[in-house]
Amino acid sequence: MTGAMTFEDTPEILALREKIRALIAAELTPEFLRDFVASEEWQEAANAFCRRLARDRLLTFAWPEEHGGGGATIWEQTALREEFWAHHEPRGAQYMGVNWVGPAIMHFGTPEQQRQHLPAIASGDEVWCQGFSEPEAGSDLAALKLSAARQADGTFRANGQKIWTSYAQLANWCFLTTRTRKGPRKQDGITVFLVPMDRSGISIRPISSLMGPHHLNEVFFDDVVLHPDEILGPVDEGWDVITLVLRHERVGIARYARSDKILSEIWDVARAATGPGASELRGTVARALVKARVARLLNYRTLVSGQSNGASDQPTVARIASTLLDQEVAEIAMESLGADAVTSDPDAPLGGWVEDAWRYARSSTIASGTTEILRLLASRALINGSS
Amino acid sequence: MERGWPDEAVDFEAAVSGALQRAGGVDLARRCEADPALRSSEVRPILEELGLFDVDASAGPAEAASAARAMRAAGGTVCPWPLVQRLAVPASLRGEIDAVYLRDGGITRAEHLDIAGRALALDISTEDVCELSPTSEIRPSPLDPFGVPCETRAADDRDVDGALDTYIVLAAFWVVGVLSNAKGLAAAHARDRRQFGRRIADFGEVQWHLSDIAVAHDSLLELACFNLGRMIDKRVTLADSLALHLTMTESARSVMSHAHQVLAALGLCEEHDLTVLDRHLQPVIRRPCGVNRIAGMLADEIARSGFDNLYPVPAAVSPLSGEPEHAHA
Repeated sequence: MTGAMTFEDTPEILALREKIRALIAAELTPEFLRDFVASEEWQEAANAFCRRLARDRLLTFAWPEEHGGGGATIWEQTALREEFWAHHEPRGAQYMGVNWVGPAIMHFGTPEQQRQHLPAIASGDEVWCQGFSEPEAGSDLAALKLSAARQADGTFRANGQKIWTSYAQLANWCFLTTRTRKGPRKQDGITVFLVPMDRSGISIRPISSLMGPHHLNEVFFDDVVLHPDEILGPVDEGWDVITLVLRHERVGIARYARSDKILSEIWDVARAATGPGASELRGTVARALVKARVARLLNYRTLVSGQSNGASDQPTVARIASTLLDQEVAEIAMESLGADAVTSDPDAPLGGWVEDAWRYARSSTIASGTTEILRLLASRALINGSS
Repeated sequence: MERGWPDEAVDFEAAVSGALQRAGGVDLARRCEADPALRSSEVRPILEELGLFDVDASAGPAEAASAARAMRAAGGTVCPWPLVQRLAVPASLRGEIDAVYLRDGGITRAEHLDIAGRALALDISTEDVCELSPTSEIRPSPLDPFGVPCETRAADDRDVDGALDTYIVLAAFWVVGVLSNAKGLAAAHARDRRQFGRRIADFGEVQWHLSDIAVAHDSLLELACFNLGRMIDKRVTLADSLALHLTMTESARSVMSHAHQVLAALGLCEEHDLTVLDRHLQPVIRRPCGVNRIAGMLADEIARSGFDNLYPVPAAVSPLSGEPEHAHA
């Protein structure tokens, strides 16, 4: 403990924020920043932006320098995550590779895997997707069944299905979780593979969703050959890899930053409102502004305490607050625009992005661990006395 | 960003907590409610011995942090003394004034005013001050166990700069102490109580209550730390203070209602600490006004002076001067 209580950005962090905001304004169009669309055209714009970031080592600013990163401090990393998410995550699908695939390869990968994948992620050349959820294994991730049976020649054959796979149609690689053995616990016998998406036997079926076209997919594996050098971490002990990934993933998205930015824009609507309901709307937005501040502070607490990857309930509490805020703010934004809120026309109030924010927010209490699971974890920590 | 506590503040909280626990903990409040004279004969000597009346929250980071953590310890036992009001008195007025209360225009009751000494009442929105004095003996109600009818008189112009912000920060830490105790009671009960052949902590509904308690408690604690940091740096705004008051009330409502659901009928009994915590908490979170009115004040203040978030709401600009319309002292 230093004995200090300071919550303000340093001049260096403020300068970094300005740099990122200027870069986003210069490199990306307002249409790109308006909504999330996992189309190839949209992804190409994101890839170009990632290559631009990579030139300044900003794409992997959080990574250690020996892995092609910028060696950023935890607060520089945080500022970056906040600015990107507040601007509709202009790295697109790249955020997965940067935020948790790369760190997992750093932690568990062989030197060969690190040489193959880390520079490619750092340069913005590769897109990854996450082969986790299955039809019968959602929140209960350890119940996954996609089998990878070892063959006499030492290879594995993958058969089964993944679902809700974001960006699968755009990805070059899949971070694939498989069942290689049945153990006494369902967490036993899981193995992670790093698989190229153009491998024979992999097929993709897009799923239309509330969040936009082709955002979610089903991915089918039909006798797909997996090689031993594609295994990440120990065979049958992939649950440790998954646990690390989930911790990175759950703390990795600064949802509160986007809520914060939306509220700052909605405030102008609330301030200008007149007539019945106007003062209630201002009160509602004011309350949400406070909640956005609180959500940010709860997230910062996990970073200060160094417990973002620990067993404490702090990251869980922060994530519950952030995801609920995400939906509340989206609802307030819709409410503030009244009848015009449901149109996505660019000439609609606020450029029509409000309805996209609302649609996307529907997923925030589901993706990367449902609120129900998070509440279970938070209560377990409280009961066990680690809160 | 840093969020560290000075060692002396940690030690002081432990000392305050230890002394109040040795005096009976929440039971001290129970006994004082039955016999209000015990506040002067039993509680006051404990607080004097601790040196709590001399703490000056404006005297630098260590003493401000000590004041905050002492209030958390006091809140944990709903210590029956107007401590927040005492410590909110600006250093320049110590010796002349003994307590500062908040009011929203008028004020008809003030807790512990009969033992508070010379008191001022500070308007939460205008920061105007008036003198405050009791008009009768203590007149207790279940939710206002130490409420005292009072009246105001015009006061000489006094510099109460910082008193409002200090009051709200210290009150928030006092409430954190109450909520922390309630959180612990709910968790322990969920762990120990068995129904239908298993502990109730294994039921999803109970787990939801517990997680909501954790989120509400932690939300208030983090915002209170944020305001404390800004108070130390002398950059806290009226909007910051109103935001903290709002969160204090909303968190308290959430924690106490969820804790009551976990403890069920047991938590409604006067013998159980949760009931005492809940009743003694109510005047603190409901004075000087309700949460909707605070939210309205906050909205008005944001419209005037802005709100400093990651993406700040800018202050309104005066059409005449081109400057922000309002700046908090």
